[in-house]
Amino acid sequence: MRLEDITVALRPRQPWESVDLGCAMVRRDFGRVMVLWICTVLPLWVLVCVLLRSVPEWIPLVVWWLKPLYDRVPLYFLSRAAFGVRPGFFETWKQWPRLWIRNCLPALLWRRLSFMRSFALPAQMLEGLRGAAVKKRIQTLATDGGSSGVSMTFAFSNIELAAWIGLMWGTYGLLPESAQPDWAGLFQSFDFEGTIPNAFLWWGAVCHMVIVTLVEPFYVGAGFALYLNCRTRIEGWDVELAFRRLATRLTSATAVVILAVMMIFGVQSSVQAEEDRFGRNPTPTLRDDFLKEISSNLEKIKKEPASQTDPATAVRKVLEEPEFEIHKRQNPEWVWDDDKSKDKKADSKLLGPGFLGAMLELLFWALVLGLGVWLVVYLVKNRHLFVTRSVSKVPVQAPKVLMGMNITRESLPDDIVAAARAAWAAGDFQEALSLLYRGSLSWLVNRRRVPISDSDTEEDCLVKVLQAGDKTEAEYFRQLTTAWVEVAYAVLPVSNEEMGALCDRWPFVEKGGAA
Amino acid sequence: MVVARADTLQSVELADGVEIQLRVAGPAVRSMAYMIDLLIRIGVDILVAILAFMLLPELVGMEMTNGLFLLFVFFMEWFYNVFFEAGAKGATPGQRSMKLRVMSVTGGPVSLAQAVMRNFLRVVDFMPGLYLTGIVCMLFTKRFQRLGDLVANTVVTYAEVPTFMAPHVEIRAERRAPSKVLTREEQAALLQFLERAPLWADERRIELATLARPLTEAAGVEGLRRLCGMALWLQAPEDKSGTPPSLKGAGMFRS
Repeated sequence: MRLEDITVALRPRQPWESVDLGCAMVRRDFGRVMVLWICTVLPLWVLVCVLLRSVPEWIPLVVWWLKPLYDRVPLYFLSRAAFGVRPGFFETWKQWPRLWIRNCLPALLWRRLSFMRSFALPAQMLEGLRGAAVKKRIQTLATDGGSSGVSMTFAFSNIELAAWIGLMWGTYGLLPESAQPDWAGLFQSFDFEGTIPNAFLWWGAVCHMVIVTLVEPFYVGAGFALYLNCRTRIEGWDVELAFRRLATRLTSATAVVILAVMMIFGVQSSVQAEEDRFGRNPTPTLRDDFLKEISSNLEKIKKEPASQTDPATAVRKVLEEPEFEIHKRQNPEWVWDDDKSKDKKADSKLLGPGFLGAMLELLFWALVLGLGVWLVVYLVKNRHLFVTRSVSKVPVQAPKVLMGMNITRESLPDDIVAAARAAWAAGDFQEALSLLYRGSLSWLVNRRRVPISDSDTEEDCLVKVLQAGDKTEAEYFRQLTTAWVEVAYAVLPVSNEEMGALCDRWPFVEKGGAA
Repeated sequence: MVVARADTLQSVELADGVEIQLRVAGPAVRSMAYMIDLLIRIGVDILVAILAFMLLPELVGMEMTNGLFLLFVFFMEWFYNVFFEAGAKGATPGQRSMKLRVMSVTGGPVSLAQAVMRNFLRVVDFMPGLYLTGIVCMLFTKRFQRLGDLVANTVVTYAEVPTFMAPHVEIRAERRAPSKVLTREEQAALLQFLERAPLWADERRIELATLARPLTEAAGVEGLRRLCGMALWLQAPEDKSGTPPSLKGAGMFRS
């Protein structure tokens, strides 16, 4: 582990902020973590599913219980990625059995329900501690008594649960009806076996795994970041990093100052001075080494500052910095193309833009033609909607029986008036008026299409005729109705003159026919 | 391999070329804040229900009470967050208890329009159920924004700069100017060292001080002493009180 290579911004953070840092770390490497997850965790899941195929309701619980195993490979990857070395796939693959076997019993048995699982995992796995040592180490690390680790576990289990229920809720409508539980039956009888189909349980297990796959890496990363934060706090990693950089800067700066001084005074004089300092009897090897070093350093310096001191080069260098980059953006604009010859040229090319344009134009006209044909067909099909309805072609269901009287044309004699007169002469007044009344109704209903329905009374018929029929007919019908009602219901006698008038003025005949 | 440093600070460049850094808050702490808000809302709803159904039916009748109560629940659901987030603190009670607040991405307080937008879009984030979309979106966006945040251009950030509680101890180190010119980061590191040294073991302090040897030009305890002296000088170049300063900081010299 070299602190200089760290790929995470170190700084003492608040616990929740370091949890966020963990999320950011996982997000950065999510693809790689996913590949490792799929290759290591998914086989175990499939194994669990096969073993528990007869009791699918237990799968989510078992999968949840085995979570400490899943955490280890992502942690291995993240811990190395944090220090600048992302392990390759095969490297991690080789580590996989070792990672899972190490410390696995306590993790799966008595440490399984620990609320600081993810926070404690780095101490177990990365520092290789066991048993009581882990506990002590965690106590040292958790400066806040571990409450941040616990609340983080709480938060992530909430997120996981919410996401699981959310996913099942959202996909519930997509399940076939046979896979949906009979909720009403369930709440009535609490008979889980009979009301919840197996398919639903399997679907629940799959959704659970999807959500665990999504959330668990973030949980591991958050625990690792919390651990990093604690160590940063109590060991001053950020300060160490800053001091290391300071030392590097100062030492290199000192070297530059010394060399610059040497250059100013010239090599000879400085060698002379060294000679003086070493006294009369400097060891030749030492002096030779020193000379060699200086000359090589001088070479370096001569190469570099030559370009740096030239102002023109310096200016150019500064202008090459990203701050001085001139950003250009091209905004395409529609311009009228008046050049006809250009068009022809383009058309000659088979697959050029001209060809494409021609195709599009063809398509456009085809569309227009199609639209026109469709419009015509539509209009013809629905022409009844547009033709004004002077005389309805739709046959009105004319009533056959009104007020208990048959009014069909067939039931009446051909010459109604003659028949009425005959009846009148025979002394059957009721029959005579009835003939007239039925005949008039029959005419009005069948010929004039007065909208009389079979439930109408004499009064209704009169009103409708007055509204719809022509004036003389309506007037006649009014008189006839009055006479008929008097004869039929009040049994009042009708005078001969009245009857004669009714027969004479009978209007319901074909124009030009017999009177 | 050059990798971008993972960090929770997200810098935003404003229109006038100023760069600000936001301490964005992630899904874990926000889910906690949401839970607290949810509990508060449910509590208030229940309280109002009890009061309303005790008092109102005699005055306005049962059906009217029912309607009024449902109206109240509606406004709680839709405007609770808007009311508090557009308010002066920019945070709901739940967010305040987790020391969070809602901000515009530009670092300013959220406007009413932004608050309305980010909260009305909760419906989208809620889909297909229990904020699944929101959770996934928050996990995979750089600033931990859910869809409502992305649309309204808002972020949830930590409201307070953490205060470091250092033990109050006396330092017996001679104040001295650093022998070299230090950059801003290096000065900050020195001050951090002074502040946090009480948390560290003696060996660790000396180890760290030795790392800064090119600056102090001494190793071991002497280096540590010089380093603390320089840090003290950075805190206050001149001794104003006249007496040895009693600053919060390292008390590593008991001799």
